This record gives sequence, structure tokens and C-alpha cells, in this order.
Amino acid sequence: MKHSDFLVIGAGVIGSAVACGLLRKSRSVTLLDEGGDALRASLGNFGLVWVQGKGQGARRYAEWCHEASEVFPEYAQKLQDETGVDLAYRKPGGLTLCHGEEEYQKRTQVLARLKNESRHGAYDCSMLRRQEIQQMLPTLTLGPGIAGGSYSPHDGYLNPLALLKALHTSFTLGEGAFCSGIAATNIYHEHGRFLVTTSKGKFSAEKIVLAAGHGVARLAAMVGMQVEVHPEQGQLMVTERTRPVLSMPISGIQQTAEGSFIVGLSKREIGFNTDTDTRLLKQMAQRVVNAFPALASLRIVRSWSALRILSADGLPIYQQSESCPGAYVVTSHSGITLAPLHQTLIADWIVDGVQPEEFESFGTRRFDVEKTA
Amino acid sequence: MLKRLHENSDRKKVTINFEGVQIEVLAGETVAAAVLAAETDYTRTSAISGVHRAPYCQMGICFECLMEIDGVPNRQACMIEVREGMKVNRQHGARGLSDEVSV
Repeated sequence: MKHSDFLVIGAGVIGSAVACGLLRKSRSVTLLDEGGDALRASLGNFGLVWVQGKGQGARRYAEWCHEASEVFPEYAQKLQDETGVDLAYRKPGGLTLCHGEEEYQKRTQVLARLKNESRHGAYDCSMLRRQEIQQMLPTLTLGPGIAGGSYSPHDGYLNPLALLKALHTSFTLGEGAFCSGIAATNIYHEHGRFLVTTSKGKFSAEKIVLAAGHGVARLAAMVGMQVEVHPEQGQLMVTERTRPVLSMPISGIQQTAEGSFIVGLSKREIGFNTDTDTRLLKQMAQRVVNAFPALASLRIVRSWSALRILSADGLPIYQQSESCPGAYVVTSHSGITLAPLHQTLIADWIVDGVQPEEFESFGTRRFDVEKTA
Repeated sequence: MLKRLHENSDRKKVTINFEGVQIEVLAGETVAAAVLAAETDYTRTSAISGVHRAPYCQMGICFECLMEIDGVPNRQACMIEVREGMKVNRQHGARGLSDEVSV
């Protein structure tokens, strides 16, 4: 049986970032990676490091994303220097395009709300009219239906596959124990320690971190925690490569560093279903062509879907078990954006118990309040 | 270098234009097979590094065989049958877009 100070279950972008963070404080960290058939949001996502529009009615989450975006450039550079993996991270700011006047007015209201709710009465994201946006995107002509959009200088994007690879590389370089192809089956809390049975033998640890994405609820129940997450399917398409013409991520459309366009505009709640749907893909493609008519000539080379991991209110869940202290749940949508915070503040909380500001916003108690209210 | 298994078959022949040169190929074969049989050294340059590439998997998966066929860029030469009079060119790097403005 392998014993370590910390055992992290789940080697997606969240578990891996936390595990790398734990390695700064301990020589003894084990990271379990389920394997190729896991439902990995970390591999199927769009790669945005995104702030604008997030956290309506949830000020602390809006701030949390903003804080992550502030430290991201330095974080990405350091990770890249350490591992030699090019993350293709860029922070040119990001746009959300509004098709028609109605969407423009709705978006204006979203930003006004975020401004009202913010701590200092300010929200750094501006509504721009069509002409202003066209000036920001000089190499691609906007379709006639685009009324305008919102621009935030805090948004960026990266290659999510490269980020995951870099985290795994960093963890291994830091002499963490990376165990792949191992699925956790049961967790027991005995004599203040945790015993985890898996598909390949037993592991034990002083503290365990549950970052198993869609598997988190089942595991959390074994250490006395009720955690609910549900899947929200997103479909994506990638086109053939072109010369670089789109220099900024747009909510739902981006051009990668290699020149492909990635399109991801859908949300469906259909359970654990990763099928793609041609009708939906067609609607997405139509919206892209409405935004940028020149893209109509591009061939789509692949499509896929991935399942977002959402809590009831869409916010992260960071919670220590009360009945089995030393067991922690870390789960979130926005695993890419929040990676630098998971690697620092969340890892420190697990090691030292130091809580970031207003941390109860992300605990499971908030759901009890909602239920009784 | 590469040759057809049945070079002397009585299959119908068609003529395609490859990089400005007329070549005689067999009807029914793919563009990738036709240009390889014509002893072509490469069929595209990589969009990232610019290095020379040639058809690899021959079954539509690897995208190494991208060529410009009848004016359309980035086509998979291994998935397209030759046709009389077809114009085939190497794909040089990434394609552009119709309304691209040079800056």
C-alpha cells in the first residue's frame, strides 16, 4: 500500500493544479488519474481564460475569476519556462458579439448589473458599437447583423490540452507520484487517516482532495459530504487552418495559435450524453457565419462534445468534510481560468487551513441556506 | 520510388494538371495516389513549420495530404478521385480567407 501526506483523486486541470500547489509544501503528494475513458471536461473545453459576464448575482465569483486573470500571465510564463510546454496563452482581451439590437440591450443590462453588484461600483468591460469592434478586428469583416458587443481587457485564451500536459509535467518534475489508469472505488476514514481502494490496489493518505469532476459526488458521500454536480453538454467544432485573421477570443469563436477556428456555442442538459447533434452544429455554424461571413468557406474537420461540471448555482465548491476532517472537495466550472488560484490559494487552504476572503461563498453551506429560504 | 501494382492495366486514363504539368493517371484513383505515382517529392508545406509533407494515411484521417484542387485550398487529396482536366497544386502553408486584408 502506498502512503502519502496528500492524495488527490482526479488529474484533470483542477486536480492537477491543486496537486502541483501541494508539492510546494510537501514532498509527499500522490495524484490519481482515472484514464482514457473518463469524462474529461479538461480535454474537451474551449480554452478560455475568461472574466466578462461571469458571476451575476455572485460577486465573490466575479472577483475570483478576475483575480485569476490578473495573475495568469505570470503563472503561464512560469509554468511554460519550467516545463517547456508552449501553452499558447494570449491575453488580448475578449469580445462577446451581439447579434441584433435586442442582444445588445440585454448585454448592456448584464454589465450594468455586474457593475452594481461589484465592491467598488466598477466593472471593467465596455459596450462597443459595431464600428468600434470592426476597428479592433481589422482583418475580418463583421456580418451586417452584428449590432455591437462587449469588450473586456481581462479575457484571454490558451491551448487547454497544453495546459493539462504542462501541469502533469510540472507535477512529475516536482517528484509528485503520478498514477494513471487508476480509478478510485471506495474511501474509508480510519484512525484519522484515509484509505482509498482503487482498480489497482490501495492507497492511504493523511489528507485527500476530491477533484474527480463528475465522479466527485459519489466519492464525497464516502467522507460524509453531500455534493451535487450535474453535467451540461457543450458541443464544439474545429475548422481547417487559415492564416491568422482573428486576433482575439470571442465568446464562442476563436482562432487557435495554429490557425484553426474553434466554435463552441451550445448548452444542453441531457445527462451524461456526449453525442453531437448535426442540427445544433448547423445552428452554431450559422451564427459564426452571421458574425464573420468570410468563414463560410471553411471546412469543418471535427466536432465533439464535452460535459461541463456544474454545481446548482454554477459556482465552484471548495469544502472540507466536517465529519471526516482532512477530506476536501474541489470542483468547479472554469477550471482553466481558475488554475492559478487552485494551485496557490486552494492548495494553501488544504495545507494550512488559511481561507481566502469570503470563502464561505464557495462552501456547501450555501446550498442549505437556499433550501431553507 | 512508388509504382502502381498494375501499371499495365487496361483501365481508362485521364489527364490532370499538377503544378502546371500535364500528367497521365488512371481513372478511379485518388489525387494522392496519382501524384505519388508521378514521383512527387512533396504535396504541401506545413502551416506551422513550413516543412515539406506528403500523403501518409491514405484514408482521410491524418490531413497530411492537403492540396489545392480546382482552386479550393486544403482539400484531402486521398479522399478525392481524379477527374479529366483537374487542376492540382501543392498547398503552401495555411490558406487565406476571401476578405483577408493584408496588414
